[in-house]
Amino acid sequence: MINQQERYYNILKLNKWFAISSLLFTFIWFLTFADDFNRPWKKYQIEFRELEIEKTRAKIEAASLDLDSNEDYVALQAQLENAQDEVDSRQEEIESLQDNIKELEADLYAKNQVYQFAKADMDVAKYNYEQAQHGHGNLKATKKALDNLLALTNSSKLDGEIVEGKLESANNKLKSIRQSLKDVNDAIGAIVREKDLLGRKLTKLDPEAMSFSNKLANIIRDVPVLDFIDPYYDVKQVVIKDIEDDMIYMGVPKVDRCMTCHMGIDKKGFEDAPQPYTTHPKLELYLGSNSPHPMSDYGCTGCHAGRGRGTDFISSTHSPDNDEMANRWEAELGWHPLHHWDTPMLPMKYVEASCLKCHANSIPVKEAPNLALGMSIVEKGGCFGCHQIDGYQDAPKPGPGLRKIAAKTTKDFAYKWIYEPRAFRDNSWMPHFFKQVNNNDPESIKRSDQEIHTIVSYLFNRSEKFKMERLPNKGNAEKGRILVNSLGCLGCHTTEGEELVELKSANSMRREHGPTLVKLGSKTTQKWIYNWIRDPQSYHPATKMPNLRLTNQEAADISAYLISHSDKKFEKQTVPAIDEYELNSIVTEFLGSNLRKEEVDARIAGMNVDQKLNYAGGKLIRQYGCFSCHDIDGFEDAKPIGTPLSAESSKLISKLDFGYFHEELPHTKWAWFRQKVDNPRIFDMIPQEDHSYKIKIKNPLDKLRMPHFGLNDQELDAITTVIMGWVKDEIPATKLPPKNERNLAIAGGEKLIRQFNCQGCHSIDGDGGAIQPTIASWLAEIADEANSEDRGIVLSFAPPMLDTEGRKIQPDWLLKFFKNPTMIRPNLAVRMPTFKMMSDDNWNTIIKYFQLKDGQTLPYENPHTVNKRSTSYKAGDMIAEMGGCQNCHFYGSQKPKQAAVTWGPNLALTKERLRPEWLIEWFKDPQALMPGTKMPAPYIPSEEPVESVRDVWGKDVAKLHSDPEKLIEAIRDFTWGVSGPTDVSKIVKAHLAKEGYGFVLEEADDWGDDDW
Amino acid sequence: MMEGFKHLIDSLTKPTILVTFTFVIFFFLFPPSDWFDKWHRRLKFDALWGKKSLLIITGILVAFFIFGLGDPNFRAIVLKPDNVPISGLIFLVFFFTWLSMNQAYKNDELVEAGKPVDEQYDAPNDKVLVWPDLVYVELISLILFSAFMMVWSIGLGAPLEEPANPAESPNPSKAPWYFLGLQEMLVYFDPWMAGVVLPSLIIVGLMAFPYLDNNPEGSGYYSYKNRKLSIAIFMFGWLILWNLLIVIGTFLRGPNWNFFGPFEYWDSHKIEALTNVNLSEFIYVKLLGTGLPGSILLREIWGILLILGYFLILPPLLAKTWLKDLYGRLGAARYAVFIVLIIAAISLPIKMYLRWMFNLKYIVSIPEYFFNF
Repeated sequence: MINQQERYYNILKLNKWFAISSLLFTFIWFLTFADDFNRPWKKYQIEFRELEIEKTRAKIEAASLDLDSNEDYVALQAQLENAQDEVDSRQEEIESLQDNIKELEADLYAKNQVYQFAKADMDVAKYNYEQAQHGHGNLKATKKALDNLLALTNSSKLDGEIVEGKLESANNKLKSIRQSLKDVNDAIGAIVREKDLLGRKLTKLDPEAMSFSNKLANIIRDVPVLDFIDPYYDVKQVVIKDIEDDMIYMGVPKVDRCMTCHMGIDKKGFEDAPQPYTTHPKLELYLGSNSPHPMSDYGCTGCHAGRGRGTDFISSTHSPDNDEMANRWEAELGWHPLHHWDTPMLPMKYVEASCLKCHANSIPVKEAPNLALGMSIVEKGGCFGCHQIDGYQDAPKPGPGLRKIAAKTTKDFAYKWIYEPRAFRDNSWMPHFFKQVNNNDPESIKRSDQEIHTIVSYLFNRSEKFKMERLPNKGNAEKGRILVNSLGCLGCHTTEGEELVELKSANSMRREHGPTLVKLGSKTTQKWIYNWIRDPQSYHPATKMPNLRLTNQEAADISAYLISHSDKKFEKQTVPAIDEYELNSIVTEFLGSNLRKEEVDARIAGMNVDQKLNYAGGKLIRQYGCFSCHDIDGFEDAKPIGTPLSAESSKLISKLDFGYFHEELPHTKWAWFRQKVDNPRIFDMIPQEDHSYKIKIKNPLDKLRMPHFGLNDQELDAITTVIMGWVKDEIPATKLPPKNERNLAIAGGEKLIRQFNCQGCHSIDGDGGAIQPTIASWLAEIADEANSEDRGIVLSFAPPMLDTEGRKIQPDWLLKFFKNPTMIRPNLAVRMPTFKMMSDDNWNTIIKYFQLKDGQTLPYENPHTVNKRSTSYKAGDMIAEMGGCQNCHFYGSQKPKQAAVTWGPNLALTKERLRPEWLIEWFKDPQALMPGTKMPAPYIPSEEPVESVRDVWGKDVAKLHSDPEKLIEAIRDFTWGVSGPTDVSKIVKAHLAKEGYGFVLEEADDWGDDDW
Repeated sequence: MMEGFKHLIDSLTKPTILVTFTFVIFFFLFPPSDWFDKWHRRLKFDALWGKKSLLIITGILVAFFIFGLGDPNFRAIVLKPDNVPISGLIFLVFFFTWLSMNQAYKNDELVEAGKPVDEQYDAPNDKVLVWPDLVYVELISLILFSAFMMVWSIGLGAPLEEPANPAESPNPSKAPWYFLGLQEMLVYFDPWMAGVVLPSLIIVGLMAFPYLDNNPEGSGYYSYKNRKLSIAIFMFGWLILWNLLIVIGTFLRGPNWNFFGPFEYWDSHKIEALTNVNLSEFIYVKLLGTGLPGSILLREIWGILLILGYFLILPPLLAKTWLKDLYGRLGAARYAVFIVLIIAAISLPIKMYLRWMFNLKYIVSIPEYFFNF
């Protein structure tokens, strides 16, 4: 026993404590390793490995099946056997050769060694001799040694070369014996290459396909603790040095580890695999090494946002699209939002927001339809009027000018309209300021009644005179309707009774460029419409409405049509009377902000009702920001009233006031933005359990005042996408589209094209031409359904597509045309309007856009000239005649032979309008340049025998016939030479008036069929 | 019923009530004098340091936490990884206070009975061996504590938050837990006082302890009877002015440093009326009905006189009256240091009450020279 006397504690007890605690510690130590080893992403990698093995095996199987049915392969197998037999039959010869080679190789080695030694010694001797020459050593002896060694070196080198020669010839002999076998094997190898590669991949993946040692290594590399060396399962990541995560005090290079679980994201073949293994749906656009956004350069969170460093579902901040998804995630994955990360992953429905970061100047409409729709809404709704947004600094005001409003409408209409615009026109972009959630209590309504009076009064009191001309006659409404449907009005407007598209798009928004033309009878007078459509700028100089160069009669007809619809119910609604008591309280509130009560009372006492109305009206127009969208007298320099939005989504979420909606709304920026746009005043409210609201205690002027736009779910998602894209991220120049001349020109052009809605009529590179469906319905009306369903005919009556405009048109002609549009396509009823509000600067931007988009950098070119006596011209003449160009085309004032429905441009225009190089392209394949065009590729007899060509087509064509290029140039030269008047509009008008279009109508065919 | 109980707790933990309650009861729990001791025993508070109360009070604490965890607001605050140690602190501080008091009372009884105290150890030469008595025990503690820390770190992730952002300070912005007592003082004192002067005084006071306490009795073992005043004063500073303020700062101070009961939702929009006035305004504007005098000295003279009186007149007055015995025992120099430290410490609760009762901001306020008291 231990002597316990000197010890304060019982040592045996301490030993026990020590033992227990050590065991406990060891256990917990293992726990630590287990905790470290057990990573949430591992199970995904294991599962993906199984998936990949499965896929690879299936591919190998498919490949072997392919081989079995591959005739070449079967034949090669037979050849292989033959070759093998041949080689086998010469076995003896081969063996002796092999023996010989072995001996020679040994000999070569020995010889080479002698040479190497000799050479080394010779170098020493050389040095010694040089030293002796310098006076250090025996000149004679060193010279002799050097000479001896030089001789030895040379002779041993020669010996080696002789053996080398023998060896080479022996090897060649052997090779020639085996050559046929090798050839067959190579041929087989080329066929089975893919299968071999798959097989090799499988041996790396599949333990069952591994060698024993690899199998063992496969287990050991992923054993706990040892797995730090070279594990199979590990965190995968890309580091993007020049895109940084903002850590406030510093930028940290982006590290994205998403592919640790999303293992199939950049691999083809996993399109149908379950998440998280699915292949990226747009590999050709993203992630792929040849795509514009390769994974190694852009990573994942640059676009998707989120915490790239996270390696589990929660820490990487996945965000659900909706509540249903959130609930499912919570149940299945234990998901919850990660509170402490400012930029959580964008829900898929908003992911296009990130495109805006780099492509704000040129929205990729086709790749990001949601974003494109959102941008259209921003422009239509005029968000930039109240909110400062980069890129919209000089955008025109989206609403109509109100400086001459008294000429256009009545006070009553203005009052009712302001109160509830969508009650009159249900798809109006004019938002609702009144009867909103925070001002629809009786007291607020009493106030609103008077507020609107003040605004109307201000506008009408300041209204300028508008000199209107009298109508020549009452006009024909039916004719007017046809005109509206055919002239091109519907590129920007929709009309009465038209069914609107269910799913909006950037393209469908183009037809909302101007207001829907309904119920104008309740809004304005025929006289005003007449004057307005004849010259929109005389009423509002900054209007976006162009001039269609209507004749007085056309204008009268159209105005008669437009005025014919009205809304009697709306007209019957009465306007509340002016309530001076309420008016006084409004005036008091504004005056009271910087005057004492006594002064306010004195001021009010000195004002009559009109003065009060005007005073309060001006103040309220400022309060509500009416001037943001409308040109209003007295608000020329007013500043935007809303919060700037250029970096809205980089705001900290704590800067968004959720008010009393913390529980009702998910705590995300997108949920807040969406709610804010959906019901802007909601944050003034206090939600009740029965889903009603109580209002916060606020002075009327302190209430939220953003108006309500009545957007549907799709539009809300689109606008939220845009807002989420307004960030302050610093994008390195390497990641941005290069700022070269071409891109700048495209951005500048696109901006104007959007602003003036060119694509409402024209389609450019597959986008636009919103008017086309209305052309089809017009055709159905003036011809029949067969015509309206024929895409070729619809396209030929629609405004032309502008796909290769830059390569096609001579820039100086284009400018002339823009300034003064003239007839090109005689069959068209739609008219290219005159855009008087566009400056030469604007037009140049657009011309440059077309040119640079098509890689056309020269504004001035050597004019192409044609000699009418040349072979080329004469050959062209013949081909044109044989091809019947004149069936459809005017030759100067000479009318085409066929009916007007087939008519094409006047060839006399060619010389001044088109570029010669483009014409060559065009004649070769018209469909390639303008898909759907009715122009056929001209037939050229380049494949026919020269004799028959000479007989049928004449000697000029025969001379050129061997070179199709030359023949096409001949057509070009002929069209170049067509002369005569270029303006055939009068002839066309007369012809159409007399003979019409000459549509081929279905009835005629039916009749023929019946008869048969 | 449950909600009622929660409301009751919420209102009982209002600082006015909680602090007043602890101030009142404290010296009956840790009696500084024979009079308090008499009541201490008469109220059976001495039973607090018995084995049964350890179980009962621990049980009550545990039950309270279990009950509280059913409440989302309570849970959010208590289970925040930052705050878990403070919950532990409540238990540990109670346990070790109990342990020492239990031992002290036991020893007091032993001494009274003429027996040696528990800690008495004579063999040989009143010394123990470094090995095994010191180092072995330390080793075992080290292992156990390491194991505990590992389990903790596995079970509770590091409380990482978003990257620090100068444009976005967290609300509430809290000092590290051990400084929350100091932060609480900032509510009542000028930052210069609460951040510099008072903390310095705490350190000076701790350094002065061995020189002030010249009582040789009860040294080397736990005892209470012989050191009533010293222990009561220390415990007041340690338990109330330090630990209680940490607990309040951790669990009961929410956004905008507003006060929230343990079951209350931390609403960052909660508004408390905070219009405080200085003593000078009280006297000149409220009492005398005149404007503030232009001269700083004239304006602040009342406050200055009050402070001077507090620090210069109160100590000799006390020495002559209540603390006559103490003065006699300590002598003039020791008494002077002692009493200044004590009344400086007491100025905190005094200031708290002045704030609560009169919305008093500062007694002396000379913002012109950055001096406020």
